[in-house]
Amino acid sequence: MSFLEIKQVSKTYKSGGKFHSREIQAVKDVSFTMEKGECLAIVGESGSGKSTLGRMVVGLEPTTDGEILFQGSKVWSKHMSKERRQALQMVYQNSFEVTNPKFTAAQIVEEPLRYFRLVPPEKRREREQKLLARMGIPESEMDKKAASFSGGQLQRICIARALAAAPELILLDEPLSSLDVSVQAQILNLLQDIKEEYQLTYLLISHDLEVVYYLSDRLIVMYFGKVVEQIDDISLFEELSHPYSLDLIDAATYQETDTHHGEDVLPTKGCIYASRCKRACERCRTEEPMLREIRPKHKIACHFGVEDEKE
Amino acid sequence: MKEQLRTEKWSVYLKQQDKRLRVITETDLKIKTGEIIGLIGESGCGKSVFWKSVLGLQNPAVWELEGNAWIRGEMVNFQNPEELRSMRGREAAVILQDPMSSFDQVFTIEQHFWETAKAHTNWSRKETAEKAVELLRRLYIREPEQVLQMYPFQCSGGMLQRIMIAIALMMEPAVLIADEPTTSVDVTVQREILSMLKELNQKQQTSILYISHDLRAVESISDYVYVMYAGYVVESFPVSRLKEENVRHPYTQKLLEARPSFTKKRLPVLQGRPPELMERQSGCPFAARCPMADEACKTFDMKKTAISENHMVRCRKQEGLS
Repeated sequence: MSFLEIKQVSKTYKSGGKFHSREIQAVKDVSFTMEKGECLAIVGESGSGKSTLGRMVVGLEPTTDGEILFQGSKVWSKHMSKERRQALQMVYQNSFEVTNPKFTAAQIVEEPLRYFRLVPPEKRREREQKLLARMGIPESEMDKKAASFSGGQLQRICIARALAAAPELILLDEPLSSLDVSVQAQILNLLQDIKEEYQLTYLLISHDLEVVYYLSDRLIVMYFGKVVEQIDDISLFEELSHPYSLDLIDAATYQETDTHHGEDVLPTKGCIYASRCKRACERCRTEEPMLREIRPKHKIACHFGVEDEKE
Repeated sequence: MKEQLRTEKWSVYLKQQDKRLRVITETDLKIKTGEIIGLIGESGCGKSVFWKSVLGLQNPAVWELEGNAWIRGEMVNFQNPEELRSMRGREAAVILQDPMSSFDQVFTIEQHFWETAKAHTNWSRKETAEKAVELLRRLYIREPEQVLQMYPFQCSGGMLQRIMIAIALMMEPAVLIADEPTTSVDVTVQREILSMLKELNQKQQTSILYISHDLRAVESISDYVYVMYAGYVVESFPVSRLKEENVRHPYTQKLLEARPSFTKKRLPVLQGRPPELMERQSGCPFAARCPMADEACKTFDMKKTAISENHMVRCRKQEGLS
C-alpha cells in the first residue's frame, strides 16, 4: 500500500446555464503514487491543473473520475474524518489571504491545536511558542497581529500553523512566489530542514523550476490538465526532453525567445501541446501521445520522445 | 541623448505627529531616451515610494519631498495639481504587479482606453478605439476588436498585463514605469512580458524604469542598474557588471548568491530583514546584516565612492579599492 495513490484522476468543471453550458477539464486522467518522506513536485503554468490536483489530494474537492487514496483509504468523503484532515495540511502562496489579520501569531498557530484537540488548553501556549521559535518568530512577537508581519514572516507563521496539526503530508502550493528573493532562500532552507525533523512528505506545486530542483526528489510536468513528463529521480533533470519541459527551463533561465504566442487554442484531437510546439508534425495533430516510459524512472507523452529513444 | 527622467538629491519624508521619518535619501537617478533602467530592491526599500513621489501621487499633508525632479527636461512642479495630473499618464505611465487589480471589473477594455484618452486628448471615441486595436495588435493580442468588448475578468493575467502596457503606451510617455510587473505571473508569461518590453524599447525607443526584486529579470532587460536598500541607492552600475559578477556592495552580492540555480547545495542565506522606518538610525542601514561591517560602519555618512566612471557604491569598505 502506497502512502498516497492518485488513480486516473480527472476533474471537470461545468459552467454556463441550460443552453450553453461549457465543460472545462482541469485535470485529465492523472495517475501517480507517493511514498512517505519524499518530495514530489508538480510543475506547470496557471491553468495546468496543478493547483486543482493539489486541492483534490488534500480533500478540499472531490474528483470527477478516479480516486485518491491516502494510506489505503479514500481521501474524499462527505464526512472526512478529523484524523484525515489533520494528516493532510497545506501552505499557500499568499499568506495575507489565508490568515485573519486581526489574529495574533499565537492565535493563528493555536487554531489547529484547538480544533484537533492535540494539546490540553494549558499546554497550548508552550507548543505555540516552540513552533513559532523554530520558524524564527521569537516569543516577543507572538502576540503581534498578523497585519504587522512581513510576507516572509507571515509565511513562516503559516508553516508553523500547518505543523501544529502534526501532519504527515503538507501540500505546498507556490509557497515562495510572493516573497522577495532573499526571503525565498530563508524559507527554502527552513522547509528543507523541517522536512527531516518532522518527518514530513511534501507535495510541492510550483512554476519555479529552480525551487523545485532544490527541494524535490521527483518531478511531474503538467500542461492543460495532463501529465506530459515525469521523472522519478530528480537527478534525471537534465534528461527532461518534452518540448514543454524544455520551454519551462528556457523561461526559468531567461533565455531569449523569438516566439510569441497569444492565448492557447485547445486542440480537440492530437497532442495537447501541438499548437505551441516547435517540433509538431501531422502525427502530433491527429494522434494523442500516451504517457510512456522511455527509460527507467522517466516517462514522457510525446511522439518524438519515444522515437528518439528507439533510435 | 536626452534625459527622459531625472532626480537630483531626491529625498522623501513621512510626517508623523512631531517626527519626520526619512523614507528615501538623496537619490540621484537618470533615464535617457531609449534606456532601460533597472531598480532592484526588496519590500520596504522605498522603490514604489520613489516613483509615486516623483509623479506627485502622494498626499502632501503626509509626505514631504526634497530635491529636484525633471521629466522630459522640464522640472516637475509639485505645487500645481492640474499640471501634475496632466503630466501623469501623458509623460509617465505605470504598469503594476497585479494586473487584475488595476482594472475595474464593471468596465470593458475599450472603456479603460477611453478613460485615459478622454483625460489627456481630444480624440474621438472611434479614434481611440482604432488606436487601441493597433496597440493591442502590436502586443500580439489576437482579435483585438473582440478583446476591446471584453471585461477584465474574462482575460488571463498575461493578457491583462499586455493590455495594461497598451494603455500605458497610448500616450507615448517619456517613461514607462514597470513596478514588479512579472512577480505574480508564471515564468512563461514573465518571459513574454520581458521580451515585449525589450521589443518596445528597441523598436520605439521607449524608456523604461523596470523595478523588481528579481535580479535575473532586471539583468535580462536593463542597460543600467540601481540597487536600493532602506531608502538608499547603495550601488549603481552598467548591467555588464552583474553578468561579470563584479558588484561591490555586500547587499548586491548577497542578492546574487541567494538564487538556487539548479543546485541541491544549501543556500547561502542573508539572515534577518531590513530595518523598519522607525528602526532606522544613522550610519549604514545594512550594517546589522553585513558580513563585512565593523563599528565604524554604524556612523558612516553614506558617502558615495566611485568605483569607475559609471559605477557608484555607498560602502565604507570600498573606499580604498576604486
